[in-house]
Amino acid sequence: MERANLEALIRGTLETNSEVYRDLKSRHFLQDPDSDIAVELLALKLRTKLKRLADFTALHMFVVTLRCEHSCPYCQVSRQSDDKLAFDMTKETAEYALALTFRSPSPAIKIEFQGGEPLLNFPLIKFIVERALEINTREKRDLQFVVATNLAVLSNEILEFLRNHEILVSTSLDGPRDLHNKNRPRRGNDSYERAISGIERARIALGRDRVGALMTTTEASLERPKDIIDEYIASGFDGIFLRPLSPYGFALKTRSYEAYDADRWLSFYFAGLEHILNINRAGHRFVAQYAATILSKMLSPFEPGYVDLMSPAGIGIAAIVYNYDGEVFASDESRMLAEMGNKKFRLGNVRVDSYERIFTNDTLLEALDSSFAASSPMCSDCAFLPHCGSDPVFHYATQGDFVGHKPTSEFCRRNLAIFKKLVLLLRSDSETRRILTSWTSQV
Amino acid sequence: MKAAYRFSDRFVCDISKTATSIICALNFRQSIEADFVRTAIDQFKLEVLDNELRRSVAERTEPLRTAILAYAFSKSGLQSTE
Repeated sequence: MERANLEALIRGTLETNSEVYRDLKSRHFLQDPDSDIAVELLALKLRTKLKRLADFTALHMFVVTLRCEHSCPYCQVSRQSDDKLAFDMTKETAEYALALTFRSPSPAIKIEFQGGEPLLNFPLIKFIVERALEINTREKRDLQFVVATNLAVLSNEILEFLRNHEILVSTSLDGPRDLHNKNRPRRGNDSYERAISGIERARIALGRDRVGALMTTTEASLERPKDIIDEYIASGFDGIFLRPLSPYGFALKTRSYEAYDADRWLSFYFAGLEHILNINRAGHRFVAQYAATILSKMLSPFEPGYVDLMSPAGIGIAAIVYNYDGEVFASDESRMLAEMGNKKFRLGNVRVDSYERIFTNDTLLEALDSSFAASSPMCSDCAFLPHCGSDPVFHYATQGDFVGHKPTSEFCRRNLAIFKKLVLLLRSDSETRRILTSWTSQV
Repeated sequence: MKAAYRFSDRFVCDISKTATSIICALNFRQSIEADFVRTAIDQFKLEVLDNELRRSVAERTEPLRTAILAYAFSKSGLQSTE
């Protein structure tokens, strides 16, 4: 749009019989007394976007153990050696947590098993799954299970159980062998081999589309976006989530978080995104999943429900964590912050606190109230406000309060750069636009 | 006042009003470098700006915030019956 027309639009002096006026009106950029359709459609889109909020907490994470046989320097939980049974969740704690889970009004419940390495406490996973299914014969929710595992201790018995109960698998794959094993050391230095073998075995047993992988970016990853993406393609995945390093847990203790800043990560991300686009241009469909999530928010009225990019934030009201010892946290990041000694977002304990007490916790309510991006300076005026979110836990951890200071916020810097880049790419050429818009159907 | 409190580890702030302005007199507690004073003043100004913006934006958007939060909790069974 020409600047003169934009200024006339803002001043309200645009000629009503001009072509640009009619064009803007038809696209609902302006409204006049002729019709309320634009406002009504906008209201409908807003209702659609917010529709899921009232479903309340859908994702319930059970940290069944803190034990792990890996020693990843970026690990966002305090890991313990694999012989410390004191760090396993008990059946009793799991029962309390299940009772809270089904207090949620959400018609769809997803139970995600986390750790440490959750398969090290497989007996409890079995117990929780069977008990949840039993409860659900009465509750009749759309119940799903996911296990977030490094697959290093995957046995045939475990695979059979996962298959019989349609449990999804989410594993870690940080890139090619040298990079993965450098990021994820374990005894035997065979994390990569075990992950690849586990992925193959899980796909055969469960189905290809029931096994996903996530990567974590480290200092060592920053120069190798293409290698990481090529590894995902070689391993048969149809997309990748290029994640930043979070400032929690061992990442901060081992100074991994300070290893790079937002600009360096953005260079990594954009190099990766361009490589992915080139792969698509060559005829191979492969999705940049974070970009796809953002594009879905930009180009459709639907809310993909990605917890880290919601306003109000998804802490507590979209996802919640039950730690091995019964402690309840507003999000996985909150749990990680607690492992660093800061229990700000601890909401209670399943054994002693009721559903009412946990979900009306003062910190949770205050953080939720503060997490409206539309109420935050700089966010309230941002063109990308409808597509963005807030992350009160991240801002509290890095800047000392729930709202943060957006001019110096890494969350803001990262997301603003990605939004702008995606808009430029959508406008660049028809082929790129076609590829990007096709990704929104993946979300 | 919020900003003054936050910086109370670096200086004491005397706040007074005239007909047309608010005066903040910063009293640093010990001998310090000029650079430290300049940095502290800049940060204090930013903090005042930040707090004022948060207050005004939050006030303006309170009805929207209240409506959306109420909707989020509407099926949770947690609403007050008062």
